[in-house]
Amino acid sequence: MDAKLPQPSMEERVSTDMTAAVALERDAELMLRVRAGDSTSFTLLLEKHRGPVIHFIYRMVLNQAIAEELAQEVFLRVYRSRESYEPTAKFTTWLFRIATHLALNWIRDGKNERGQESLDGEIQEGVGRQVADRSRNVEQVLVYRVRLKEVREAIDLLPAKQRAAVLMHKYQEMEYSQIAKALACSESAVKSLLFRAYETLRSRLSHMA
Amino acid sequence: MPVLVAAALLPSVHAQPHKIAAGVRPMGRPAGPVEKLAKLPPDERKKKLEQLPPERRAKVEQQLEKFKKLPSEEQERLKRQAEFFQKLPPQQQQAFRQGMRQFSQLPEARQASLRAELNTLSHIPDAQRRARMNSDEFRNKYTAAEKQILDKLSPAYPVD
Amino acid sequence: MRCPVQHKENSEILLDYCARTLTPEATLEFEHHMAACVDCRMFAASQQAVWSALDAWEPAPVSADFDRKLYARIEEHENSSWWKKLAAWSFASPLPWSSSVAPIATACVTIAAAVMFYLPPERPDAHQARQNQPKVESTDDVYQVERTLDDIEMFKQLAPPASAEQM
Repeated sequence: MDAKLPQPSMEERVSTDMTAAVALERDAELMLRVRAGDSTSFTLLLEKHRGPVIHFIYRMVLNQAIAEELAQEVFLRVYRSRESYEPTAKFTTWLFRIATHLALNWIRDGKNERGQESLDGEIQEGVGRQVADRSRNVEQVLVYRVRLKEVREAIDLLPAKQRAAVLMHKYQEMEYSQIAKALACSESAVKSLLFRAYETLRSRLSHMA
Repeated sequence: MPVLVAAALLPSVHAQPHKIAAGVRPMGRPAGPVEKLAKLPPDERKKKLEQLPPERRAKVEQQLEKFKKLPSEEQERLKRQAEFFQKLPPQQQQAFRQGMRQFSQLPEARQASLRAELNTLSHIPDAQRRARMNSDEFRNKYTAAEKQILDKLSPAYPVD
Repeated sequence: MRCPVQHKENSEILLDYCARTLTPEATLEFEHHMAACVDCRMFAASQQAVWSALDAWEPAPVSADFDRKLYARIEEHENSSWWKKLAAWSFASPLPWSSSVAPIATACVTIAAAVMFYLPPERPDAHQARQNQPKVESTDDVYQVERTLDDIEMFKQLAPPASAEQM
């Protein structure tokens, strides 16, 4: 079995790292400008991070309306905290710490039982987007429906902190140290969370290769 | 219809135009950052601006030089306007800046016409402004796009 | 290399390889190991399947009125009275607070405000001494200048014609 994965070259990696470093510094710079009273910089930060924050919270709480409401609370708190902002950590680390805190609170408070969208409802919406893409045939749409259901159920199985760790690791490509700060735990705890989470996901999803 | 929706969405925070303090700077009010920078000796100012990347530094230096050549009354007025504007809610500032981007794309003749109209609209109360903008005379004079620009600019434009 | 599947201390190599975050040297070393290790090959294949499955979870588009609602909430917050803001901050700080700390903090601030109100005013010489201390300029000032000059340019465009010509 050949499981080799194509890996980025050294040049690609250096370029990506430098681009990422510049982008991260830019976010902190923008937030400092927000602190100085520049609302345009807040708009720029919102445009850049709106999607990722909403998608992260959605995958945590599994309800689009709740996810958007919580995401608004995230950006409201960012704005309210502007005067005391200090770039002691990467901006995204701070942002996702707030998002994680709100999502975990919401899950802990048990609202997910009342507010969680029906699985069928969410899948219908996803299937609707697929059908709108005329390049996919009916069979592909049905396969998508089944896969989506399995992925969502697998994520749903994970305890909240494991879920948060996986979502930040996979979709936001955050480093272990960033995830640790967002979850207020140690790096070794993050690695442990991720390992257990991926173990669960492998048992549920590896047949989808 | 979209213009009406846009107008409805813009919050009318003030029923009256945004009057800002005119005349002499109140006693004890500290100098703003522009004033502080302008008063620095050239070498100190240059050192301060080194915090910015080269293009932005050059732009600030150019803007500052032009600004210093204005009559002092004009300088004061513009600083008051900027200071007041920066205290407005982000949504209003955002709408205003959007309106300005659209304004700057208009031909010069149309800019002049809108400029005059904006100065008129900014000196009358909200209710009167809305009535004026909904009148047939107004609709005949300005396109829907121009009305939209004025809609974005007039609520937040600070006047003396 | 000690097999990451067999030895837990190396296990993050497996995740990092699948996430493509290993250094090129570590990647080569691991792939060399994988050539002889069935367990690691199977692990990498199943983990890659998980990544692919997660990739299939496409997000829904964001509502068109998200920004409008957010700015409305910001404005509501800005317009609310100071004591409501303090209460909101106390109970909804970005960081987790225990339920007892927030009300205590609110009470402390209220008491401090009352004490300050009743304290005799500061002696003029002490106040003057502080005023005379040089202020440390911060980076914020430069950004503030930049923003103010941009705003001034904006208002210049809208000024009556006599002023606009001078800039």
